[in-house]
Amino acid sequence: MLNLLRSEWYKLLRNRSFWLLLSLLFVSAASYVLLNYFDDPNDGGALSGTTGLDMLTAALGGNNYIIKIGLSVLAGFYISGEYATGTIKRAVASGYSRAMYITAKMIVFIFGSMLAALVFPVVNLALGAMLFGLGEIQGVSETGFILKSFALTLAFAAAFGAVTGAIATLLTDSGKTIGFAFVFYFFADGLYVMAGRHLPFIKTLYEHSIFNLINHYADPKMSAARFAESLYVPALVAIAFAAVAVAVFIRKEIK
Amino acid sequence: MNEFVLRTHQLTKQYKSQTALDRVDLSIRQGTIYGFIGQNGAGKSTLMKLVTGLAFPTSGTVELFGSTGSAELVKARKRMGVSIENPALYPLLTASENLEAHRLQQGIPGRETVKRTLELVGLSGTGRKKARNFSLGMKQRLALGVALLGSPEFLILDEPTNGLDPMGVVEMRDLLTKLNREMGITILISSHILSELHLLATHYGIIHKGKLLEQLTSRELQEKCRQFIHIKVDRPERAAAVIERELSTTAFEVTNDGSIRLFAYLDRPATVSAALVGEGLALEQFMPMGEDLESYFTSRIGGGEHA
Repeated sequence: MLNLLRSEWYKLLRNRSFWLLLSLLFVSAASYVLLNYFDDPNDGGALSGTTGLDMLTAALGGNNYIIKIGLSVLAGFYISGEYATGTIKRAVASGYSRAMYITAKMIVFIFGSMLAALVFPVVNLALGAMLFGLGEIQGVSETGFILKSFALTLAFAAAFGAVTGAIATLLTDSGKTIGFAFVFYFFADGLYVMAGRHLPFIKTLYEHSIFNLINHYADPKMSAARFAESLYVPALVAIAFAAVAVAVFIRKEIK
Repeated sequence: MNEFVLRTHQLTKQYKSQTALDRVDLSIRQGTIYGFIGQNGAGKSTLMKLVTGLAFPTSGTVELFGSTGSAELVKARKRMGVSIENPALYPLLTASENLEAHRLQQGIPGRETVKRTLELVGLSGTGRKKARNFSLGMKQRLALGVALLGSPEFLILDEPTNGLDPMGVVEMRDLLTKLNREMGITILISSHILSELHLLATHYGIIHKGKLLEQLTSRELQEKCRQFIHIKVDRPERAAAVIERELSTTAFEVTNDGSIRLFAYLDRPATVSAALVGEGLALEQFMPMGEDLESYFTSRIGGGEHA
């Protein structure tokens, strides 16, 4: 297993989409902070009302989309790309069980997703704090908020990474994976809400799903119960969808 | 030690209504080069996919190094190197990075293995060039390098000479011969270039429409590729009668175009020509000929179709 993880990690570090995604997120985050810094309507220096924590809160709101879009593209190229190049054939015939191979791939992909998801909030917080100062949120511990934010970012990235990874394993084609994941993520909320109007259990399901929880994870005053739920639900989703990917892959014929 | 590297027992693969492989019993002995011959869609790649675990059999079994259970087969595949259909490479990685990714996956110690393999397949000078910019021949060589990296005992190569220039074909043949003779690697190879396969293989399997028609050694093939005297005369019926009466043999056949294939008197052609000319027949063509792998294959699958 360790060999598979090392090999997958080696490939991820040489994946152009991964570095492009990280670079884009870094540049976007830095630009966002700098635009805020120079966005003074009186043309006279930095805004005084914005702080590093404000930038972090804003970044977490935007990260919702980054996690969904960015990871879809990464999954398309990192997982489905193996089918397009045919390298998946070599991997399957390499003397490791299919379950072991896809588990290693999913672990590395989820880990890469978590790294990518951290870039936007971390750069926003770090650069924001350097330019505006860290700031404070009334009634909330700054360190606690920062740690909670990063923990939730990692949890949601893992969950969406696993869902996207399972989609990529199922569809096998980069274009289809990216397209389907985009459409699915953008319409998931609407579909849930619409179905929830007629079926109450769907409404309850949606309220506790990663699709709804991620919309509220930037709330600095999140209750302890909500925080716990926002941690364990994504963790369970990540495990469940990694298992789905394994179940799909061990039955799949490689063409 | 197991005498057979690979054996399949009644191996069948059905895709909906189409039977891609039909009860195939194939055996490959250790140390041989097994040339797998068949038309496009005959079932060559399907069999290779079943052996390598890319697809699952509808019925029948695969026995690799004596192992048949699914977990044992997975383990046995560690002793195998594979290149099926197109060369499977990471296009944005260099030759060395492609090999390194595979080396890490297989847990092969020592980075120098990568360097040695690059030298072995003649790609040590490719430097930072990405695999996507390689010619098809270079890709084929790199795919072979990847397959060789784990020092496999059994190589499965699907059309490894595709895209190679004539020099490349010769180099590939020499390399495979060397791997077989010096390192004792058993090779299952499919190729459309039957003349090339003829120079390489020690054993053959002919597959047609999913059925394994025949397995034979190169010696058996030589015996079956019958030599004959090709005779073209103005009156073939008269010539046939002369051969029967004067030469006392029925070992001949008259083909559709009126020429005669005489399978006897191969060492005494002058006797044959003298008998025919003595009866007043005009010899238009008279020469020794023989079937090669291509014509044998064509006749075996029923003629008129090509590999």
